[in-house]
Amino acid sequence: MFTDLLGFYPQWYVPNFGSGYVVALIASTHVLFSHISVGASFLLAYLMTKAYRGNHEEIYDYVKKYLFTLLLTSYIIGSLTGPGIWFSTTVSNPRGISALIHNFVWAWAAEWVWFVTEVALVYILYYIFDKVDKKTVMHLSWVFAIVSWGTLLIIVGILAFMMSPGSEKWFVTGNIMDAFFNPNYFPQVGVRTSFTVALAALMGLAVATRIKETALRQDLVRTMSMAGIGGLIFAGMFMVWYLDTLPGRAKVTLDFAIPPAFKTVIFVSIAVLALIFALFYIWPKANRSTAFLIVLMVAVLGLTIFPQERIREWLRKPYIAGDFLYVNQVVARDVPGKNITNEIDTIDEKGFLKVHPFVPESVKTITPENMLEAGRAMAMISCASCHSLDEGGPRPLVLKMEGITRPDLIYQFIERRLSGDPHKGASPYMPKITGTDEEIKALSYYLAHLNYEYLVAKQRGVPLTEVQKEQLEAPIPQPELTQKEQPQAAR
Amino acid sequence: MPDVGTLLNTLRSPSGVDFYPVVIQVLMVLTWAVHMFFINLVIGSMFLTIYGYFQKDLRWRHLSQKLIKIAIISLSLGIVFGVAPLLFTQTIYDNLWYTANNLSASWVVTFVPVVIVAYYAAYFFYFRNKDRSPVWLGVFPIISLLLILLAGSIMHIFSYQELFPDKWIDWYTNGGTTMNTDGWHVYAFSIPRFLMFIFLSFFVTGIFLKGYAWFFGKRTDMDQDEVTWFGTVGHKVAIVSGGLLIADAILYNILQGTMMHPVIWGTIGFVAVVWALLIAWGNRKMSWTAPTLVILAGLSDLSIGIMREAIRMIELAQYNHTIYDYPLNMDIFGPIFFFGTLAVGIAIFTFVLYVLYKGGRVAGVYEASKVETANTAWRMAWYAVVMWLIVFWGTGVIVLSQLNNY
Ligand code: HEC
Repeated sequence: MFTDLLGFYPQWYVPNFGSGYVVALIASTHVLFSHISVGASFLLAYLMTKAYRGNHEEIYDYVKKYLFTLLLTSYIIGSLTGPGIWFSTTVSNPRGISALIHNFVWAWAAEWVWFVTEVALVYILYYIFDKVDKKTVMHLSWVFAIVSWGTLLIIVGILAFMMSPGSEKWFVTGNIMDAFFNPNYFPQVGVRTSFTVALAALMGLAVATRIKETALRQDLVRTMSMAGIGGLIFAGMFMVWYLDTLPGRAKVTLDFAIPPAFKTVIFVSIAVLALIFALFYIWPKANRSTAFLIVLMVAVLGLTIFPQERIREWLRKPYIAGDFLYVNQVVARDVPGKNITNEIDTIDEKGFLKVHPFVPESVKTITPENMLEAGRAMAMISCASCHSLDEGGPRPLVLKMEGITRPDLIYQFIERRLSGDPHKGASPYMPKITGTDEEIKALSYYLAHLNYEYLVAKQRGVPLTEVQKEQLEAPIPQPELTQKEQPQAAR
Repeated sequence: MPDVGTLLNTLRSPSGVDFYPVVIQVLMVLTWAVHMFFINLVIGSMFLTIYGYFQKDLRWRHLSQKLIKIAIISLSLGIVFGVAPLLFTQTIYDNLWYTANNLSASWVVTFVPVVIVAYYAAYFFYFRNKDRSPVWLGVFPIISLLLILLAGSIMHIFSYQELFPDKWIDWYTNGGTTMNTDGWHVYAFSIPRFLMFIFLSFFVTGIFLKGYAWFFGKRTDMDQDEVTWFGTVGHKVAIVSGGLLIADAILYNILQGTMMHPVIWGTIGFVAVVWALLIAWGNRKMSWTAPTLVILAGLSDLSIGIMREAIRMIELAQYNHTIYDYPLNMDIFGPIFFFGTLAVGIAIFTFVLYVLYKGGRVAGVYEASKVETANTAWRMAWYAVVMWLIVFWGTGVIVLSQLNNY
């Protein structure tokens, strides 16, 4: 009986918060700091070259301070939240991260080489800044800039694949290069790189506020403003290309499901930033306040990169990675190139609770007595990676289902909305439901109870509507179990 | 209960691995050893920096100042080198790693915040640790050390829970009745195994201090009496902790039931030889003993790493499970990409380490750009980096140009 197991791991559930938000928190922090690091390394190389060529002792002092600030921020928080993403995805979506690791172990190992080099160099640059001649420091700063960018060049391949392999090619070949260099790769590198240049420009403007020599300061402000505007223009152009390479499903979600406010915020903040750069170019003296620039940088990161990352995640649904693995851990399609077969048929036949190694023995076979518990286990493994089972957290089911307490209605909803078939009304962002009919009934029964309890709790605060009251009075009918599934217990 | 061997195979990634598991295993053990070397330095230095900070003797205060700097740099390097074994273990031991982690999931996500706070506490102390700084400042390294030990315990939990695949389901389901989804459960902890890494930390840090005294032994701008004394302190620390380490390693392996295996003897034996050499060479001033011992300390980390891996393999063999039969979808491009990048990295480090070594041993500014060897190394490094970019993008363009065939 146990030969039918599939490779699911123990499930982790964070009440009222959601494991997905834990990942989002760590990942967003990392993304912000890592973009800063890359931008900062470009700026560093530029400043070192300028200082060395023009013999500007003044710049050296700032460069050293600036390196130290980097060391204390980006290289502590950034380099810890990087593996932090692995840690958090390991527990919120083990099969998702595993799929990526098994495709990209060598790409990640290559990125690691750059990462080691980058971190070693930032320390070395700082500690030997006054111990070796400046020409050598300048040389090192260029290596530093390129390896720092190198980490971006590599991780983007993995991120792009995560969104979608982009064509059938990888599914057939299973080759790492086909997964890595997918149509989404170059435009995404373009967007991110241009954006880091704009960020570097902001940091450069901050350094410029401290420079005393007037001509040098003016020169720096102008160059930085130009770089900033250039970065933004290129980012915009690459963005158009990027959107064009998205899979069809994602385009639908982008156009119809994502709140327009998200998109507006991104566009407006980029436009404002461009205006500020233009202003500084025309009137360099206006660039005076470091505090203003820091606030601006935080605002830009918060208002552009953060929503952009959230949208990216949204567009990926119902998959977690590579258009073949659902967020709820089920392998949804065959990948001949890797000898992967989809698990949907097996689960539909044997039952999700049965094939999951970490579902307790007590609910593997559904009976009228354990139906509620079995339903909860189903909700845990089928829905909880996207929906909270409590009132708080991501997309709480009790809010999404508007208090329906009739299992048959919920059953109908699931059978349509999660049928995987758009003609039956399946949603583009939810996976196809997997499991036996029994299990889906148990799930519906549990969800009806969940709603019921929610209504009872709510009743204490706000008065219920007539319909809701009626629902509370009627008992929750238990779905009938079909007999043919029963003998499995004896098998 | 399902058959444990079947369960282990089922929990493997359906993608398989794309290169010989043994290569990944070797890389994993090697990078782990480097990681552990730096983490040992962090833990040992933190302990000693705290001890030194509370001493009246100014030499101890100075040692405390040096050690906190060593601790923070080592922490950075330890983190950086920890990423690689983490990657490789997820590849060949995914079945163990993801399960052990998800059993105690909440601890997994506390790890990173804990280390971040530990880091800043250490930095704060580093900035203010002066000859006359107040006693209360000593709270910061203590907080930092406790957090680092907590982080170490968390990692210990995962690698230890990994060793009991026969118990996982019972643990998680409380014997088949429920699902422990909250992630705060800790199902297994071995104090002797955990302590082994602490003793190892003192051993490595002690020897490192001897190396420190040797490396800076020629610097005219440093107080040489003090530098020599640092070496003496390190020597004593290493001797005491080395003995404890060996005893504890034997104890742990007896409890684990792995003591009878020849690989285990070999690894413990190696550490014992290093310890014996340390005692035999005493505190002699011979120029080659200190650097040799530092290398041997690094190899002791490797030895413990091999022991750790051997224990895992012995435990898995009970269920007829081995990584060597991991389903293989051979794909040579991945390893080429990695080893190519590694070669470029080595070219860079050759230049950087040359400059560091030469620069570190002289007083004043080192004019590397006027030294022919340094210049050649620089040109090679730069050429390698530029070549990498060209090859990398060239590959991308070629791959993408063939997309339409599918
Ligand atoms: C891949 C992630 C994912 C999974 C798994 C998932 N959902 Fe959803 N679900 C979504 C998203 C995204 C939405 C729409 C977003 C929103 O409304 O906030 C949604 C919306 C809903 C809604 C609101 C109505 C609608 O159609 O938009 C209900 C009810 C719902 N889901 C129930 C379920 C149930 C029951 C399960 C488990 C069997 C489940 N979902 C599994 C992602 C998921």
